[in-house]
Amino acid sequence: MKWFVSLFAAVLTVSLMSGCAMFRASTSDVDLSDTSKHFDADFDATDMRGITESVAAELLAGPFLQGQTAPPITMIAGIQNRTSNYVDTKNLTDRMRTILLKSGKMQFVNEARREELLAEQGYQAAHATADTQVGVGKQLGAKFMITGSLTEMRKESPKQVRISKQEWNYYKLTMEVTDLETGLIAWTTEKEFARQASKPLIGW
Amino acid sequence: MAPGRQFTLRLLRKAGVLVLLCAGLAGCATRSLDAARYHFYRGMLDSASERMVEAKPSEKDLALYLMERGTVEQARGNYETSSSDFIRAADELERLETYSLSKGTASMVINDQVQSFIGTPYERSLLHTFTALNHLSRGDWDNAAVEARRIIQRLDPGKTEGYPLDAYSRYMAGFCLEMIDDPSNAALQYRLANNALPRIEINENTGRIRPLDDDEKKTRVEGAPEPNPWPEEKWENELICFILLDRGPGAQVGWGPAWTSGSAPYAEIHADGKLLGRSYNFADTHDLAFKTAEKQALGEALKTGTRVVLKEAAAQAVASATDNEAAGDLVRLILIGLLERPDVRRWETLPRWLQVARVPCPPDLKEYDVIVRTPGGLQQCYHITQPIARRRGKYFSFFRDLPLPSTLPQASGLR
Repeated sequence: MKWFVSLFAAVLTVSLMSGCAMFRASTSDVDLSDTSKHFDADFDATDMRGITESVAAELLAGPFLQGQTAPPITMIAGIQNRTSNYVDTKNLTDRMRTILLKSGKMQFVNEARREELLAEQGYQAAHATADTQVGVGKQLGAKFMITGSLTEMRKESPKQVRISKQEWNYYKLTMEVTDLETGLIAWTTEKEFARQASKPLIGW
Repeated sequence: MAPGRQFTLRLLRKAGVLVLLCAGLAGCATRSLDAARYHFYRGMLDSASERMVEAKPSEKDLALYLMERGTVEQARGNYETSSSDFIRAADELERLETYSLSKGTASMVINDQVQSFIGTPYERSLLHTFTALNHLSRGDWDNAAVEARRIIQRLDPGKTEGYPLDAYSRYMAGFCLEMIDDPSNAALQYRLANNALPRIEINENTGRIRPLDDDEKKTRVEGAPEPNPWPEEKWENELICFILLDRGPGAQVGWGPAWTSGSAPYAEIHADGKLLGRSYNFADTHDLAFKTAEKQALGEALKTGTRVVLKEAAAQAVASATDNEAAGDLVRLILIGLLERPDVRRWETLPRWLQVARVPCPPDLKEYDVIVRTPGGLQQCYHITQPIARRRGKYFSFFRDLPLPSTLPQASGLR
């Protein structure tokens, strides 16, 4: 009888636990527009989206583009990651370029694929029919260069009697558009934000 | 015997079998890891890598496993794979900053090895230093600088709590920042490294290293050529070579109270038949491990003492409850005789001597030679062709003095 009661209790426990969401694997779509969700104080996907949209909007609405007679041809030289996190800064510039290109107010050369481009031109020159060959030496030169840097400052709560560790991170993205002919900075902006998070020092 | 006591004894026997089974299974993973380390130190890097795949670590040893595997892959020249392991290990160590109550409680009744491996402060800073070596080897200066910032955070006095720190990691942080054109922060790191090294001098503006005269006399092997003096003129090209020599402390290494670090070997750098300069010692992992063990000794002794008292109390309680001294002895045997063991887990593939050579070099450096000289007068030559990464006039390289497998007798014992 005892063993029957134990077995019943075990089956009941397992059934209840498997019914509980905590003990089940689950998948669900996440609303990317919800900018309030962060797991820690580090730079994350929500920040990437927010900060690129903000920079692109400012560039599109600013005096730099309004003063151009035609969409300026631009190249992206990259954003320097000066944080202590592995941030894919290419992701930042890719997203920014997509927004700017979609606006129709800027044009971009594909500097990241220059080698492949030249290889394909060389291949076509050797193997493609004359009427479908692309012309060589007709690429457009960029007039402006986009660069930037992402910096960070971190602070942690000092050693003391506590049950959680407070972390405070500050991030700043600086973007610049430089005139390649004159070397002058034609436009610049800064976007910054800070986030605080706490991490338990004792867990199960 | 009463049925209740019989039941207790049966339960004890089952618990004993379970404990032995768990210990045996844990031993399998440790054995593969030990075999990997053994092959690594014999220069059989492919075999070491294969043993690593077999190791299948438990969750509590995951960080240590990744640190060891990352070192093996680094020595094999798989810098990206190695970085991936090191970064995962660092993430795991960060996750483990939250103290686990369940494992902490278990460690009070079993032993400290049931707790997750969290490494010592010097192992944690060297983890970032070795990741930086990988990034630098691939010419990935920006990510090397990410690791430099992590090193700086790790070496923050608020985090190190009086533990010994290695000037090697400081110098690495300075060098990574120098390579991304951040000279002011690089200078700060060079200055701090200089402050930690009483026997050599580092120029905070150039990162150049020179010995203080007394040290030069003490460490130079008789008959070895004089190293270049520290020239004030600009070097058109320079090689910054991070040198990793000998074997770090293993699980069985113990230190007597009178232990001292001893004299370090050094490496001479030659290119095109010319002596370019030599390396200087920045850290000794035996010394770091010794000082760390010294700092932790009191806390560990208190914890072990408390645990043994608790285990003895449990054995006496069982003997009293079952009215059977043999049952108490069995519990004593299991809890104290079999389970009571010190936590000797260490990052064992670390080298012992961590050195830096910063020397002028010819333009278009493609290869160079390293001659390692020991204080006993022995010398070993190595020809280096990779990694060599360049940014403008600065060449980065690193070197580890692992033996060439062909010069060693066949391995036996560990597969």
